[in-house]
Amino acid sequence: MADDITLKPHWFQILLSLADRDLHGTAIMEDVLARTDGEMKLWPGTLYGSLRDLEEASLIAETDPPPDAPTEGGKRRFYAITGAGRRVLRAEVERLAGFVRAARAKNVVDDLEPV
Amino acid sequence: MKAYRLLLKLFPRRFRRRYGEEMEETFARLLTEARGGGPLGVALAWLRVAGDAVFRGGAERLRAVHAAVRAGDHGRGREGKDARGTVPGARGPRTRGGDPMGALLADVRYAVRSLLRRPLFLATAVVTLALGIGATTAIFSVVNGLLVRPLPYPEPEELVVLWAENRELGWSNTDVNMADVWDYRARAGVFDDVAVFDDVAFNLTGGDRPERILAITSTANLLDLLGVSPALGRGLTPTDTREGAPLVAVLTHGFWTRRFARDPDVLGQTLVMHGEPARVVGVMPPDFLFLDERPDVFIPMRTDPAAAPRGDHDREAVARLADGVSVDEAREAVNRVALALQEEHPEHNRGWTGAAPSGWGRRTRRRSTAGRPASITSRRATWTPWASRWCGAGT
Repeated sequence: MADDITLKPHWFQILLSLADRDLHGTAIMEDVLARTDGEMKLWPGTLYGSLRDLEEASLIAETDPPPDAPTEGGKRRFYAITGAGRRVLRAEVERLAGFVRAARAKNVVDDLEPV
Repeated sequence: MKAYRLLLKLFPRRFRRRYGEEMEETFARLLTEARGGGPLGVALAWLRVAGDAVFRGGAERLRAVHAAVRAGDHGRGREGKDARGTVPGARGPRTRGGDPMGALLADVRYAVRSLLRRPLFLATAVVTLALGIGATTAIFSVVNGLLVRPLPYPEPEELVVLWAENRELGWSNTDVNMADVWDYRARAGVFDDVAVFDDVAFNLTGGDRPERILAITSTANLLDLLGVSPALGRGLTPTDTREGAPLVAVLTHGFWTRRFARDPDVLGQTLVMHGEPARVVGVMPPDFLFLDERPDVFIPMRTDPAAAPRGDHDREAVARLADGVSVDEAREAVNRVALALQEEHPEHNRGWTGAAPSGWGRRTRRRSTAGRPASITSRRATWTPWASRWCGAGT
């Protein structure tokens, strides 16, 4: 998959959740829920369909559970971001940052932290 | 969660096998989160997840069909037209004589290709089937739960739910007042026992990660009244329900499995609920069901029910009828006490009389607090497993 693709919003959030740790599906949903102040609820069909799609696109990969992580009798699958996933995520963040820079240049907002 | 398992059937079997259990867990957490928004939040969560299942499940099925067609086309390409007897570009399938399985597969491929050429028709058919199957299974679930499957407690026909009603205010099937219920327990003379409970969401901290859990806070006699015992440790005791008593918790089997990986040494360990440590004293058996709530823990209601303020209708109550007492007799006895309480506490109990319907029914909940009219009147969209009969209670 090309590194310059535009990620769907929920794909972006899933990759962001996996950027610094390996997580299972429910933990990803909870992480996204907390980060978006409850705005983005990843319903099960959307969440696991996306995880499957991201895995097929080689942006994430199933991985072993972290030590001592509760695995619910092995039913929980943990996922890690791949090198390709990290590159796509970085490209998307830079793309979004470009929009913020453009908005700042037009004085749309003036109280944002530097990008 | 049984209803969600039905929704999961909208997904292809392979998808369900791979993700089904995790999808249930994810939805359970979303449902717990939605309970913070009250009954409306729960209803919206069910609507959203139903939509998610219909559209994502449909998409996954189309994807599976498409993959199967592509695989079939590739197979034909490799094997050549003579191998399956199918002529590319022909309107219908042609098969070699004497190969019924080949004819069947060709028919299936032809049907799938025909459907894919009419996506609007296909989508309409899929949605119609989904709605039809969903409605049918929902109705069966209700009938099965209420009329066919016995309640999972000893002598379930003796269990009744107490409700409050105030016709002057136009409220029916309302939550009960704790002190009033305790008066019914003592004065009606028709119950073996009455228990009061409520559901409360807690922030659980400590351990490897925080989470939101659902607790049933109850009088000490709830589990004994239902006739169930913990599989490990003990249940709640009157000592646990005294004001100021240290907090203890009885875990449901699911929570014990999820949070403690069925650690047999869980007794004595501590949960931190809203910042207060709660010592684990028991674990319920795996087949224990409580309402439709899927609670994580049971904790004591640390208050004296008899001393609770009148006027607040914010608790639920379940009772076990004494031997030989009918629901109608219990209703009359409860209403006698309710009328007496109107005279004894006219400032809080005026107008509260019992006339709830009897027989099977849907559990509804309204709450009110003293001096403030009830504002929550939404229907609880699930069935009460134990509500075999209703007992209208004037409180």
